Amino acid sequence: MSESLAILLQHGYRYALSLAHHAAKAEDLLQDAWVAVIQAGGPHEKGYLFCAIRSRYYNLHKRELLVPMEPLESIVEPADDSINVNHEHDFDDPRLETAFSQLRGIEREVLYLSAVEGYTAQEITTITGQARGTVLSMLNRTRKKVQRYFSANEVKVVSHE
Amino acid sequence: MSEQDETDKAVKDYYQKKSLSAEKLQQLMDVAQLAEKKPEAEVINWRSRWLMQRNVSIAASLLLAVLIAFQWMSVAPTQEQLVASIAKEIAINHQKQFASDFSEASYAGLSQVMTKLDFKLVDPERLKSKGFEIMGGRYCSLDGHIAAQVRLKNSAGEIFTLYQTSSHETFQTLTEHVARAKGVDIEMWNEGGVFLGIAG
Repeated sequence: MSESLAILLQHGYRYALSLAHHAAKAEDLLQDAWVAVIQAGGPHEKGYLFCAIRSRYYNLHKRELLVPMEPLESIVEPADDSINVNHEHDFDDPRLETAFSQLRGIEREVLYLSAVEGYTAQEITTITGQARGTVLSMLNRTRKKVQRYFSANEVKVVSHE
Repeated sequence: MSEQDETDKAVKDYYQKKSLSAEKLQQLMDVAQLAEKKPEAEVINWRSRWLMQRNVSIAASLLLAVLIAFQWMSVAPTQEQLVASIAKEIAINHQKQFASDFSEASYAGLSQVMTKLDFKLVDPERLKSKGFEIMGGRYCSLDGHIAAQVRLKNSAGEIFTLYQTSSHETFQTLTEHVARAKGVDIEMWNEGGVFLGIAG
């Protein structure tokens, strides 16, 4: 019981982190949501907990929902098409951290639900309330944003043909 | 590995490394455990609170009863104390020998002029045979109640003072008493709903 509870809480924390992208804020989100779940006598299930976390996060970040903001990314597009960028990026935590910080909460959320929790686009649609097409395109764009960030900020392994 | 898979793996690895601190985790798990125990705890709390309130109420009532009893015992004077107290008051009034404010020569006459009295002066049966002459009267008080002081003179020319007041609860118990206070002989009794005391 306690082990499954611990796993559930860790999932909740990671999900909250994907939304808030801030450890302390994620802890607060999880705590608020967890207390609410317990007070409501709700089931100790991932879906229920995620829903509680999500509603709290978006209550706190209504503006982000109302006004979708694209960060001013300094993406350096390859100037020379003849240069092939090696797609095997050297992902590391500090740069991933920075890349994630440039994403919107909804983008990190969708990416997290897909990449970490393994939810399908349809399941993500149910959780986020976004249209399936929107979820798919958001996932695609978000992955590209992360990749572009790494392409722009890593020591590229280039080869000239 | 495709670019998408590569990114997803990096994202997964990144988040898998993130975890709630052991302290925070324990704290949240404790919250859940407390919530599970809460209904039982609430019942126990409710019962113990109710029992405690009941016991406190009983103890407070008993304490109050004891205090009231002590208060009553300490405040309510005994019959002897009451007799002594009123006898002393009469003796003091007698010794002052204040002049009369009303010079009527009968109880009925004094009753008519002493309008502040809440009772009618009585012509005491036991004094009729003693041949007292009424010299006059004035207001005074006995045990905090308004009273009449009537100056009397016997055939030997000796001055007596007679006190009459409505027979309040305090005086009703004083049916027949003789006392001596401050060297003055005092006789007290009740007659016709009036408390009387004569000093001389």
